[in-house]
Amino acid sequence: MRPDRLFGAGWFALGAAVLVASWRMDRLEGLHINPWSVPGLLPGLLGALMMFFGAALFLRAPAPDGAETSSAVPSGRIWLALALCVGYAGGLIGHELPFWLTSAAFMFVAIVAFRWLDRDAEAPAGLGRLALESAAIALSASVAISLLFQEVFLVRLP
Amino acid sequence: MEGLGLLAHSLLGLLGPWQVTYALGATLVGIVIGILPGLSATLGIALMTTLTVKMTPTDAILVLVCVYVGAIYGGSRTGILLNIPGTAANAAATLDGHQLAKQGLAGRAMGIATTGSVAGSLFGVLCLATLTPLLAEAALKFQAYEFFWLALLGVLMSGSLTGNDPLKGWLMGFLGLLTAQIGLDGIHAHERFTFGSSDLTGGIGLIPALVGAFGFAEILMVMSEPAKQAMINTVDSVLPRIGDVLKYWKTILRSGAIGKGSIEGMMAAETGDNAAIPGAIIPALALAVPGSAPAAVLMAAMIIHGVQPGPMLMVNQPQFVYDVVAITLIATLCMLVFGLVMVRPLMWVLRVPRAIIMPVVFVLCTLGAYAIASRVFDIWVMLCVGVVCFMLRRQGFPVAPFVLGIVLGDIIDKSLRRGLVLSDGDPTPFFTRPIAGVLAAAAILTVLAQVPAVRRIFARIT
Repeated sequence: MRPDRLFGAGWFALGAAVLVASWRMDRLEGLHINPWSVPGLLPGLLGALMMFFGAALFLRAPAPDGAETSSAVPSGRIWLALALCVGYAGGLIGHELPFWLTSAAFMFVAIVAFRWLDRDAEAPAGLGRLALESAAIALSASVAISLLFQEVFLVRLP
Repeated sequence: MEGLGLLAHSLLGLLGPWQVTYALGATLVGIVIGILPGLSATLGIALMTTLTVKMTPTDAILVLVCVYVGAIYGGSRTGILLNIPGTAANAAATLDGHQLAKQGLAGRAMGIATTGSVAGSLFGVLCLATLTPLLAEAALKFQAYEFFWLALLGVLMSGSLTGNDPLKGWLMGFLGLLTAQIGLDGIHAHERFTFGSSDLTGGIGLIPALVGAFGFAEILMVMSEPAKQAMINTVDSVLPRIGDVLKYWKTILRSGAIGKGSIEGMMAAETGDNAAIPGAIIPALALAVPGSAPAAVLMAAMIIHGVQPGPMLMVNQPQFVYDVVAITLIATLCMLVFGLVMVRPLMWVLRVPRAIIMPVVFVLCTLGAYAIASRVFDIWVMLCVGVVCFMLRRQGFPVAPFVLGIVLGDIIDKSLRRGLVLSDGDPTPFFTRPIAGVLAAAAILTVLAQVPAVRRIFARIT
C-alpha cells in the first residue's frame, strides 16, 4: 500500500476515534451550561475534519513527482538513535541517578557509536583514541551543562 | 510623538552593560544555531526560553529575539558555503549564494547576505513600530467570531505554505489544535482526553512539545542519515577572508549598486528572510496570532513571563511593545557586527562532527523540556511528540502547522464556543460580520484553492 494511503487511513481512524470520544464527552447538563459551550464541540469538529482530509489523502491520485516514496521502515541508525535517546531520557532521567553521570554516560555512548558509524566522513582515528576523546567531551559537556543550569539558571536538575 | 518617546525610553533601558552582553551573546548563540544544519531558530528559542525563565520579561525577550534574528541570519552561511540552508528560511538564498561561492565569490555572497539581512530587519523594525499599534487598535473591535477565523486562517495558511503538500499541512494543523484540547477546557474546566491521568490534566506543555517537534525529531532526522564526506573541506575552499566581506559591504554602501541577475535574487531572498522576523512578531503582539513557528515560541515565552499578547497589550503594556521594537533593532545591529567581523571564526563550528553536537543538543532538549515545570512527564511529552513528528516528517508532513495549532488551539476553542453562546447557536455572525466574513472567505478560499478542479476554474477565469 502507498504510504499516503496508509497514513490517510490512519488519519481517518484517528478522526473517527476523536469524533466518537467528543460525542460521548460529558455535556455538563447537570451544571445547566449553555449547550453551545459543551467541551466536546471543537474536538468533535476537528475529528470530522481529520476524517474528511484523511479520506482525501487516502483517495487522491499518487503524487506525480514521487514525493511520497520515503521509506516507512526506519534504518538501523534510527533504531540506535531512538534506543539511546529514549533509554537516556525515559529510562535513566528521574530515577535518583545523578544527572551529570547519566548525561555523561549517554553522550559518551552516543558520540562513540555515531562517530564510529561516520568514521568515513571524519579523519580516521583508532577506537581507543576515539573513546578517549569522546569520554573527555562527554564528561566536560555534562559537567558544563549541569553547572550552567543548576548554578547560573537556578534549575533543579532531574 | 508618544510612540517615539516610548521607543527612546525602551532603547535607553536596553543599553545597560548586562543588556548589551545578553544581546551580543544571544545573537552569537543564534548565529551558531543557524549555522549548524539541523538546528532551527524555533529550537534555539525554545531551549533559550528555559534558560531565561528567571530573567525579567524584557531581558528574556531580548535574549530570545536576538537568538531568532541571529539564527535566521546564520543559516545563510551554510547555505552559501555548503549548499545546505542552516534553517528552512534560507533555502531561497542558498540557490544563488552557493553558485557565487563556487565562482570564488563567497565574500561577495556573504556581503550581500549581511546587507540584505540588515536592510530587511530594519524595514521590518519600522513596520513593527508603526503597524503593531494600528493593528492592535483595529483588533480592539474584534469579537470571538473574528478571532476564531483569524486563528483558523493562521493554521490553514501555515499548512498551505510550509511543506510541499497543503493537505498534509492542514492535517498537522488539526493535530496541533487537537493536542491543545488535552487537559482542562478553558471555559468550564472540564477534563478532555486525560484518560484519568493527573499529568494530562495540566495539558501538553508548549515548550516540551516544541522541543520534541523541532529538537528531538530533528536529531533523529539528522542521525538517520550518514554524515556527508568532505563537508568541512568545502568550507575551507570557499570561505572568504573578513576583508572580502567588509570590502563588498563598503562598495554597496558607497554605490548602492547591488549587481545583476542572481545577486539581486539572493539579495531579495535574504532581505525577505529577515524582514519576515518582525513581520511574524507583529501579529503575535497585536493579535496573539503568531506569524511563524519561532514567533509562536516567542509568544509562549511572553506568556510564561506574564506578558499577555493581544489587542489589550497596547492598552495595558504599551512600553513592552516598544521594548520589542527596540530589541529587534539591537538584535539587527548585533547581527551586523558579527556578520562583518566574525566570518571565519563562526564557520569553525562546522568542524565539530555532528556525532558530537547532536548528543549534546539532545541533553539540552531533555533538560529544556524538564526545566520549565520540573516535571519528568514533560520529558515523556518531548519524546512522544518527537517520535511522532519524526515519523510524520519522513512522510512529508510539515511540523510548523502542528506547532501553530498547539499555540492557537485555546483561542479557537474559546472563540468558537463564545461566539455560538453570544449568538445562541446561530452560526451566521461568523459569516455576516464584515471582518469575520472576509476572514472566513480567506480561510475557505485557502482550502478551495488547493482543489484541482477549483484551480482549473480560477485559471480559466484569470
